[in-house]
Amino acid sequence: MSLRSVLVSGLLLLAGVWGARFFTRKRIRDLERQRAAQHASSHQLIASQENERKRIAAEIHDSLGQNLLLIRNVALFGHTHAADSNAAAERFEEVSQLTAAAIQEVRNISYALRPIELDRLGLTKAIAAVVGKVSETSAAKVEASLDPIDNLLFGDEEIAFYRIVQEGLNNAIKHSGAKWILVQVQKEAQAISLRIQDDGRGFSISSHADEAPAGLGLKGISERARILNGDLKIESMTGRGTMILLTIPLAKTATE
Amino acid sequence: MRSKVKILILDDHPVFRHGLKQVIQTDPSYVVVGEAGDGVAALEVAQACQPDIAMLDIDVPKLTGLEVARRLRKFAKPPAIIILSMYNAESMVNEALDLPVNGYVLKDNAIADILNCLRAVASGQCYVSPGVAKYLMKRRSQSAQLSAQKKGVDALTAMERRVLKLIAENKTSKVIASELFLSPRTVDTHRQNVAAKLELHGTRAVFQFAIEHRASL
Repeated sequence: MSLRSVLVSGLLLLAGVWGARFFTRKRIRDLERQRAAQHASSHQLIASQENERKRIAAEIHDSLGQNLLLIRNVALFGHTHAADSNAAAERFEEVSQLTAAAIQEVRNISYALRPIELDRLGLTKAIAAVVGKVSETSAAKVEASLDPIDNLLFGDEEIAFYRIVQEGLNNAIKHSGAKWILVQVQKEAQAISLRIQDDGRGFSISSHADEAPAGLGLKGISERARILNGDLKIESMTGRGTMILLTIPLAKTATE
Repeated sequence: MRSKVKILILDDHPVFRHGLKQVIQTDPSYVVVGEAGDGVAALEVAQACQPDIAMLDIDVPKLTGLEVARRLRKFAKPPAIIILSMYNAESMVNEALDLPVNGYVLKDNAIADILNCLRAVASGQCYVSPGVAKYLMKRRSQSAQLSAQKKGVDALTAMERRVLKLIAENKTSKVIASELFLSPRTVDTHRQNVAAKLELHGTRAVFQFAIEHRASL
């Protein structure tokens, strides 16, 4: 071998080693960044779960608990004054009213934890119900086009899908001042597409959920989109409106 | 002497079932001939005692009250059906009324409502607890609306209506596309579909229709 070829091989070898070290280091840095992001993400997830629990605990304690307290006191009072039948009738009426209120509170708290339609009537009707509810309580015109999508998603996926619809609607109502809101669920050959759109004030972002204004719950939507293995696109224009488009691929089933 | 109306109760809370039975039997026209704590048992008991009226809770083990109701309707002599439920949600009430059932009583008002309900159902009428009557009203008005307006604007999808509304504002496909986060090609597809559904020919006709129907878009 000539000296020249030895030198060239040596240089190539060095370049190779140097290159390998460079790319390994880069890979390690990337992995570390990913891990940090994941930690931040799970931290945030756990924090939001605990916040939710805190909120529910407060609701149960402050509204339901208070009602039950009142009921007990009225009953005790009725018991010690049982001889006076007029007063007793009034006390019974009070207990009846307070209990009715408590029962409704239980319904509301339960429903917020898990919508009854999801397990009993299917995902499609659960979505129809949340759209209906929003439609009734909001001045905006809420329009829905819902294809049937029962039994297409499994396990956690259905509630994740539901929460995305719920959060998307909440954003449209609370943050945008929209007059028109669209919820469109379409069943395509190998996918489900969800489109939530409004004509509200919008915001300026790129397609990255992380960069959107805080408090819009877009982080929750993007996390859930990930659970659904879905492709999430968010577009907004100040003064024009906002559009959330989620496309979820469906696993091919042998029998379909 | 008229024979007593035979009643079956399906509910998985024995205390509630017992209380209900007591209230019902204060009226001598009724007799509770069967009870069950789950849906499968309810069908067996119904087969055995052939009730005139079946009172069914929705959330029971093995088979839901609604599923029991569906199967009871296939009996040779199907009983009238009253749903007895905790749920005052519109979706659940509609699901029951769609079956159809003869009555829907909220469990929180069971004691007060049940005799009124039985009276109505036994005489061939329907009854729903006052707390959910508003949904009954809504169904009536919705079905009237549906039969009145199957055509026209209501035949369009929500997005098609929106495109039509922007057409009425004399906007081009390009502008509409930008406002609605769609591609111009998609907007044109919507235009065509709208024209086809409304049996309109030409952009002028569509525009005219859009203007005329602005208020309902």
